[in-house]
Amino acid sequence: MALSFVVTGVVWQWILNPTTGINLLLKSLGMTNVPSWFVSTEIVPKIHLGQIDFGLPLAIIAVAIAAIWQMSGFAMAMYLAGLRGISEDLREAARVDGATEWQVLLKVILPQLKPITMSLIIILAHISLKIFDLVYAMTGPGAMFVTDVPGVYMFETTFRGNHYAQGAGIAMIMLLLVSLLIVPYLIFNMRKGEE
Amino acid sequence: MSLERFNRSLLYGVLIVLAILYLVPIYVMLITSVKGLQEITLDQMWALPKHFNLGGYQEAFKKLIPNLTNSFLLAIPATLLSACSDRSMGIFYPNGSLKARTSCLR
Repeated sequence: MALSFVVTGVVWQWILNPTTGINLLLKSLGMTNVPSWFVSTEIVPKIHLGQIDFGLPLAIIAVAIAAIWQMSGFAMAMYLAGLRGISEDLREAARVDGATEWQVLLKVILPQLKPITMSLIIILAHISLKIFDLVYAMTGPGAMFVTDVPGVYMFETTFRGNHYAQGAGIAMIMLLLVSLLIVPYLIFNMRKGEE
Repeated sequence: MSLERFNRSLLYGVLIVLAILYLVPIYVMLITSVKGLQEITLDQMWALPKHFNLGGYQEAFKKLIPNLTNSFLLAIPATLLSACSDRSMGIFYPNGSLKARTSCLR
């Protein structure tokens, strides 16, 4: 996450542009039915529940690609630090005991990386829940509001619609959602510290 | 030897392809940063710049230097103060020596 989310948003908006972006490569490889990335308004599978269409909007996949590109670097750095922390002796001991490389990975290295995985999930999930600048720079709410996320919705309601109370309400609900994620993690950590 | 070598080259092949995929946005960003204003269009976004132009960087630095000083003025005290206060919060945690927990308070 060394780059600003806005820069990533703009660059990925160019790359995933349906006419000039990565689709040129796909077309030259012989693909005729190229995806329209964040421009598409399609929702699969469209399930009507009252006024809302439930399902996965295809446009959010493009946003997800950009977000993954941005955040996986952070995850890699954390895992690299974690892997450095595991001493070679442990792996060597497992090998001497006759473990295959897969068993060394699954039963020695991954359990040691568990706290890092846990922290990563918490950090990245709460960043993703609050994500605003990437989506706003890339698509905004998008056509037919397919890429609307809580952050963008809050911004639009508050500063475009001038409904300050409603925007504050959305912000409080976002705080509640994030705290649903963070509080169990903190309690879990405190318990472990007391043991 | 040959199977191991094949595996290793396969691994490196996959890694190189992934690395290139990861570097695509960086490439776009870099070549856009050295293009002149009239060259920046969506049609030519993949093309290398015809005229190497560092004007963007000059302009950016001219405007960024006051902002950067502000950034430093904000970031350095914020980091130091939050590190100090977090350390003193460490009193409430059971682990760690008393010295480590209170070193910022002394």
